[in-house]
Amino acid sequence: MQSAQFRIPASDPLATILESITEGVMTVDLDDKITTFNRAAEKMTGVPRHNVFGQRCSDVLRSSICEANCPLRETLETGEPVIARRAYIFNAAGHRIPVSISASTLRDADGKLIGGVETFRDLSVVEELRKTITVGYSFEDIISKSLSMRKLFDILPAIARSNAVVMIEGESGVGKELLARAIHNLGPNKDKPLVSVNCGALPDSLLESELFGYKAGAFTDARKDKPGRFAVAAGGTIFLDEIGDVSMAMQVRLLRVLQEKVYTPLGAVHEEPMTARVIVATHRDLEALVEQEKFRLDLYFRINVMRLTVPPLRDRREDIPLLLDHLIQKYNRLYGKRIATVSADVLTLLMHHDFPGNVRELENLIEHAFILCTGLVINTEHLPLRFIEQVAPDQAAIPQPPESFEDVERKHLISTLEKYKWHRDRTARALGIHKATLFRKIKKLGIELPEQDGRSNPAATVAKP
Amino acid sequence: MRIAISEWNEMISPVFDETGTVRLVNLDTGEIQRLPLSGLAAGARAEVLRTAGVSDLLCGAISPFALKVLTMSGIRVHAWLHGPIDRALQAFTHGDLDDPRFTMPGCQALRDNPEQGMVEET
Repeated sequence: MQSAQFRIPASDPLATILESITEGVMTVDLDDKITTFNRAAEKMTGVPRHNVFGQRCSDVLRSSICEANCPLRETLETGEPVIARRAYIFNAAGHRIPVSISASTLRDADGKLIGGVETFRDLSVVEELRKTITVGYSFEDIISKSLSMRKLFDILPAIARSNAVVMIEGESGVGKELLARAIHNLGPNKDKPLVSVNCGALPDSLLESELFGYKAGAFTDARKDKPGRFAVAAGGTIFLDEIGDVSMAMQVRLLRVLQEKVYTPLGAVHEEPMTARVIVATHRDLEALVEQEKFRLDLYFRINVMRLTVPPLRDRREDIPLLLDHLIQKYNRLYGKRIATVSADVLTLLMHHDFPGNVRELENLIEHAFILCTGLVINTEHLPLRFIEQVAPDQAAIPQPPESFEDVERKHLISTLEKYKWHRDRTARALGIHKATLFRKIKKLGIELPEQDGRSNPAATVAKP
Repeated sequence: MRIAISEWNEMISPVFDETGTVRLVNLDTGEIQRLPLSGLAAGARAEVLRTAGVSDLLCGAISPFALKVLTMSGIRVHAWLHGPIDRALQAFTHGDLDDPRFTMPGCQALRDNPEQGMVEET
């Protein structure tokens, strides 16, 4: 049997390696018949290997790309390896398993093509994580199918595992805090507290006592020790929102905390260790603030370790229907209603809106509609009037029939006349035409002249030629 | 009686949800037709087959959702099959489809109890 030629003997160390790796590995001959099948491949497909030798690989792997986009066929045709192609396979229990498949050619000692090797990695865990984040109840409802957000989701677990400072950028209402929460929930300290502080909301002195806490007697009315947010967040995560809004003086204190990992509560003699993971967020362009010397460069470098940018909703409009679904479900639960969907008109309006307030704005709109809607479908009349007024001009932006040349000429003449206070000599000069031509045009275009023209004599009546 | 077989290079296509073509066979007249299914989601696939008057579908792997909508459309689904279409067709007409050689490797349990896969994603 041909397949015997590249079966690896069990005594070969290569066989041990092949058996111990977690990626599924199989080799096929030029007729797509399986010749090698490692333990991970058995586990993933649920098919014992004694059942697979001599079978067509597509009948064993049952992948979504076998038919249209087979990596093995491609690599055998082009000679180029195929790397990490996403697909799903059906295992022997009938379950779909997301995988990443790679393939390359297999040659014998003489360099003759004898088949291909395919490796496949189980992405269930990654997918599960992605699903959890996307569907999102445990990660506070971050929902997106846009590519930019998916990329963000992809790197989130790795970021969560590290302890590096994370900086989240994004407009107001895009869900920066949700992202911070997701990072916290995915990280090793998820059982410890996540403490959020909006740095923009508090004046310096308050922010300081809020963050660092104080000792009894630090100031009037400080009767008892009060732990700061850094202390509350010990071992967990502290989320400093609107970091771009803190004063220069406060920036120095924060820098020290980030650099030395210690802080001193107000009125305290000893430093306290800072053990929380730090996530910061801002809707402002920190680089510009640094340039304007409103933000310290050293602090900027300190927090700009892992930078995540949440795109505004208008840059991921494909998420709007998805978010709508989610919000409708959410408010159905909340208000005990059974609203099914939004009307096509509403969807069109929403899809054309720029959402300066991002997801938060969308959510507010839907909540408003939920209160007013008594039926099963949200219609335009359920949306706030302010919103319709705002969006309707957009909708009315259907191109008007182009103006005629005369209209344009009339407008131009009137504006020039107005500019020269209806002084026809100067207007004619400005337009580079003879006064008589101007008069002719004024008559032809039916421009009405004011009672009083630009000539200094107010008594002079307008000579209508 | 009209039956449909998911088709790929004269073989039963490995995954019904992704198959580009089904072969329609009228068992009474012997007439053969091909229906393109590329790009269609499970619901649309079921609708195409139902409209075509298909009573039975022979296919390879199938998602629980596709199985559900097909069954709900009144189509009997014989899934987890593999091999050359001609032989499967012959076996179907002779009532021999249960022969293990038509069963995809490792999928005997699913052939015996197609509902087994349904626990997923429902």
